[in-house]
Amino acid sequence: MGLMLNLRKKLRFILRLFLRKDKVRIGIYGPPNAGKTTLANRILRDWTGDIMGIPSEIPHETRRARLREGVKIQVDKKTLTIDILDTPGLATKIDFHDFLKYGLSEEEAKRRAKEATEGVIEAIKWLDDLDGILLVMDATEDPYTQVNVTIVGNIEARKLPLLIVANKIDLPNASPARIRAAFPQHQVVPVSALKGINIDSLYRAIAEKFG
Amino acid sequence: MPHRCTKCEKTYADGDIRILKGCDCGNNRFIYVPKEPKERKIFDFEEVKDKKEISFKEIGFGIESIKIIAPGQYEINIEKLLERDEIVIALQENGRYIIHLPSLLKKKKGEKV
Repeated sequence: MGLMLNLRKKLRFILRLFLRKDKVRIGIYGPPNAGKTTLANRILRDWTGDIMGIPSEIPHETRRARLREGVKIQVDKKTLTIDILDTPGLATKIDFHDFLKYGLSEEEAKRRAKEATEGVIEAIKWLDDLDGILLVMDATEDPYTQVNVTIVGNIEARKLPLLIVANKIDLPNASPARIRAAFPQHQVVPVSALKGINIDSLYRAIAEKFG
Repeated sequence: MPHRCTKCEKTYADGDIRILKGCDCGNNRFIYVPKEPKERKIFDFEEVKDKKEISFKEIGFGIESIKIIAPGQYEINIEKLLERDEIVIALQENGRYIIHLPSLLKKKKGEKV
């Protein structure tokens, strides 16, 4: 089984050599409530006029991975076509009690917890089929978490191109510098996906990194 | 030095005259200590012991990718999920496990969404 997986990876690598730059599949990853869906919506709205999903203040609103194919991004007269995958938030602990305070019934909260757990598995399985990662972090939170450190380490091990998006810079206590200090080996792009602040820098970085 | 004094634990080489006369401490009882094999044994034992402890840690605390603590309460070992294909679910920490063997390879790309 391991051998087949290896073969698959090798085949994908060879295919990627030939197919690269025409179309890249980028996954948006990060902890819950970092603004992944808001960022996916921002990208889609800017380039297709569409949206990916409805964000929510309740954590784990996105519990299935959503793929939008063929989004054309134009940077400096160069066009890059990307597939965007919005993924459920990665967490190490999911407890239905946390959802009760948002007015969900116990049954709903338990179902949400179960689906969110399945969502984490789905998000991780998708890593095998991606060409690049946008790792979204909430710039108002401490970036040095188990989820962030683990996922950055694993993406490095997979040799997948990675851009860290320091989101929510419109909030007064946001500190993208803290994220930069935590992961100095990676490019960090500070943005506000909600307000669209500095979003052009992100598109430029996407074109440079994944194009 | 295979002869060890049973009192002061001083050791003497094979054939040492003091084994016949008595130890410096006045004691005249010695225990024969076969040097090489015994030391090797201690070393091997320690090595095995270490290995056991490591594997215990792996089995005892780390094989689960997901722990179901109670309905609606989950603990997810992201590191394990990232590293392996199979998913090991611990049911309410009572020693029962579910192993989900990878259905990944059977899946086609399109089926994931």
